[in-house]
Amino acid sequence: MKTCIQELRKKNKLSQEELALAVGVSRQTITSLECEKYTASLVLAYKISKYFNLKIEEVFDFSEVNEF
Amino acid sequence: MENYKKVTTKKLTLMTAFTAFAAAFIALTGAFVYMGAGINEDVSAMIPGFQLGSFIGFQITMLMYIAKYRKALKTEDELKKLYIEEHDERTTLIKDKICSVGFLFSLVTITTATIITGFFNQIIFFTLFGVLLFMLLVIVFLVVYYRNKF
Repeated sequence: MKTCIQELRKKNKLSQEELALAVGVSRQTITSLECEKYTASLVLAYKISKYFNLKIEEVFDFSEVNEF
Repeated sequence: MENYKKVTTKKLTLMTAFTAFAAAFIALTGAFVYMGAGINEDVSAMIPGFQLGSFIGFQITMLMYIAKYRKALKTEDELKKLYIEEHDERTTLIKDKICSVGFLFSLVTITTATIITGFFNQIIFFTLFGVLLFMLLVIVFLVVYYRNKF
């Protein structure tokens, strides 16, 4: 899933390690999210969005999610 | 984090108890050497060696975890790092995938081996068949357990 975590992180001058520690995951998880290799759980998506004071859909791109 | 600290302290106590038990077991392995001897001359030394090696392996692992947990319990930052390491959702997903794919792969391999050995050796066939039945029982139990849990 596409995200704008990297842009937000750079804008806020945060390292991956700092963001990871703030939201309670490993640095590798943040790397995987930025590389679109891993999709965050709802809880993690909420934590990241809350950390940047944004809505979940402003951080995570749901346009490619299939609707049934 | 306070709750996690309590859980970690409990884990540490259990690990210390297990390590003491393993040490006592290793000290008593002389009996296993005697029990293993005479069953089959070719493998009589291998069986107690495996038992002793397993317990030494467990003990080394436990000692490593004890050191890690003790270090984590000293400061709040270290405890948080340990919490993240143990609860990271990506790591959990990787572990789940490894377990499920690994179990399925083992099941397919053992099934194939059971069929093939059926043509050559009865003892190996029944041993593998027993392992296969056990694995299938574990799957059935886990399916029932997790369907009720979630």
